[in-house]
Amino acid sequence: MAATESLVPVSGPDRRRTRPALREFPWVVAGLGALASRDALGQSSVDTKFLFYKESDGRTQVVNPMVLLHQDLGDQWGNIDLLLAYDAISGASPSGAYPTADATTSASGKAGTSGNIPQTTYKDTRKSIGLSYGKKFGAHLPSIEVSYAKENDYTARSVGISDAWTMAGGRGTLHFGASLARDFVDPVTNNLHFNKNTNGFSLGWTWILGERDLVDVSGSLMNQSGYLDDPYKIVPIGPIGTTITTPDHRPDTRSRWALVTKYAHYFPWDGAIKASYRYYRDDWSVQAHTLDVTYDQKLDSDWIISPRVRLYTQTAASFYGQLFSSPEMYMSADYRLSALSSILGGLGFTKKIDEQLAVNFAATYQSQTGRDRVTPIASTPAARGAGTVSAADMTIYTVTVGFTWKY
Amino acid sequence: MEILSEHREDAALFTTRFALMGGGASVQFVDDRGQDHAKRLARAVEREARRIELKFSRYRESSVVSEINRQAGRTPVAVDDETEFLVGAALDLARLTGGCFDPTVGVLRRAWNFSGGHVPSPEEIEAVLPLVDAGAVSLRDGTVFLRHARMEIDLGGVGKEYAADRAAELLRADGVRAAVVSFAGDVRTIGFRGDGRPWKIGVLDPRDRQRCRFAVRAPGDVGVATSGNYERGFWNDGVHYHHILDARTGWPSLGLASATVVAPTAFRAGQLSTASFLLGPEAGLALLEQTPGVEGALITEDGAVLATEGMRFLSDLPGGVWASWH
Repeated sequence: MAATESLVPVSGPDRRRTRPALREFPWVVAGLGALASRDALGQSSVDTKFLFYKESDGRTQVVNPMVLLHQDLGDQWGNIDLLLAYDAISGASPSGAYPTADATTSASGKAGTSGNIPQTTYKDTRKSIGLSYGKKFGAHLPSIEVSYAKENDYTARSVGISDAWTMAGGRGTLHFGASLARDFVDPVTNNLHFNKNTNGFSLGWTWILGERDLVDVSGSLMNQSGYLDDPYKIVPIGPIGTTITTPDHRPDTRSRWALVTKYAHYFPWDGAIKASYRYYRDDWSVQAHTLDVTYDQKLDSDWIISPRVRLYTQTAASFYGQLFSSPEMYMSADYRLSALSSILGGLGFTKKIDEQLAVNFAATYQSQTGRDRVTPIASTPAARGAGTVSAADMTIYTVTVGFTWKY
Repeated sequence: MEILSEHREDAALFTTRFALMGGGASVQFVDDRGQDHAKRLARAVEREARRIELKFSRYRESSVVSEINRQAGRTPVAVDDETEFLVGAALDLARLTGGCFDPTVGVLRRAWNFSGGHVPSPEEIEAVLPLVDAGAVSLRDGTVFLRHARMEIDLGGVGKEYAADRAAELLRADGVRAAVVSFAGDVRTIGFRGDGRPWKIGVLDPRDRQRCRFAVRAPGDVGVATSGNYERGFWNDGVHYHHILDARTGWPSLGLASATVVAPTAFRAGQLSTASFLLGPEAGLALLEQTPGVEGALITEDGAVLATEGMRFLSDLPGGVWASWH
């Protein structure tokens, strides 16, 4: 379910964003509880997904198997969701990569001659677990969720609570949630340890407009504090040719707001369109708009085909720059904080094997374009020697296969 | 031998490559005296490197090292100044590392078999360990003597760096003002590249040996050497056993995957990279910080980079002044 969504970067390639959405977005933290409410139909299920994510130019590549177990314990005991995920992440950092070296130093010289291409590369694995429990009390379906994830240089812990309160004769649901995340950052480039805290709140309203239409409007606030720098990014200062660099440094707080409107319409010919618009802004001056439309069409009793389009655009952070003339309080040359746009196209298939088992396959292609056109060309392997291009320029492919078993 | 040239204004960059000491060797130098002169110079450099390999390799029956080992426990072997210098330097390194490094550690090969993947028993190690004793190496009056029979000395730990320095000296004596010599993973530079920029030395990533983890810019005449656990070793029951053995225990040293040092000579860089590798992350970094005129970066077994303060001026590690250059 959420894995595909969370793995598609909203504002460019950020391997932190490759985490399942549990921790990143509090409305989704609450959402796993909401999932319990959606699936509270007296049926248990196992969902598995295997996702392959690849960015162009040898950047980030992720292999992400995950399993979601939804266990219904009956009206008296509620239900439990257990999410297990594993990410194998690898790639080359576009910051500071050198195209060539004159010689290479190594332990005993089997690759000791010149010609290797030095790159700042990384490999990491991430193991995560999320557990959610929900139980219905009259019109309320409160739930609680905890999650934990571990990487080589990052530890994430979070807890969230939510409630879905059905009213208006079952036509409307008020859903709200809160979450706390306490993360630890241990950059591999030094021996320092940092904390990163996130408090999230969400509030939304789902309204059934009739037999064929459903609307959901929700808002969320996420307050982050602590170490928000990217320890693997650098900032160039000074005129070209005599540039010095300094580590990326960002404000130690960030307030992030999002307003999401979702609409679903069911057509009489076994088709459904689902559209969402998301407006995002934060106090780093980043504003973003996302329009996402998916159409599901039943081809026969067993097949569903789901084409999808997503458009995304964002403005740059106030302290973003490709080259700074003098040091400033906050500076980042990270292209993920630059102005950029992307378009994503995807196609998914679901095949119902029998009443209990369904398999699905989906693929997406995303083209991302930086709008500043002045991001240092050294930052992007594809851009070497190509003139005024943006380091945000790249394409992203994802392939997902999975199955759902209901029992 | 292969010589390539690349024109840079009135001078050309010549490159020669050959096999040396179980690894690859490359020598690049900028010269404006034409192909024939460059070829003669390249051959002279290769000859000098091979002379050192033949003289000090323990694999060569005719080498001085083999002779010293054959006479272990019997009689001192008369040696020349060059051998005396290398043996003395190896003993100095043993003292510097508190015995972690020992030029007589090679006898532990009788217990370890890194190509066969054999993990010795503690008893097998204990049986050989008494023969690992730098204190039993006598260096006096132009002779070297191993006091115990069956002892062995190995100068492989310092030989290739010495050869890189000798090659660089030969080039400089001939008038070359810009060169980079890379012998089996150890590097010595002269001056700056033809375009005026420092020579750029990639540091191999222990986790992915097709790539470099970061690069060092050589500030003029320096040596850059790396000790690492990734070239020879094997896995057994989830434990990586590598060939760099702590001479005090007979077991592989723990904590680091590689240690890279920049020093005034490749010889010095090689000594300190070995020493810091054997001492481990904390003591190794402290040694490099305390040693004047050297800088270094250690890559731990779990992938972290620990660098001396001065490496920020020499490397493209995050925060380094070369991070935005390419």
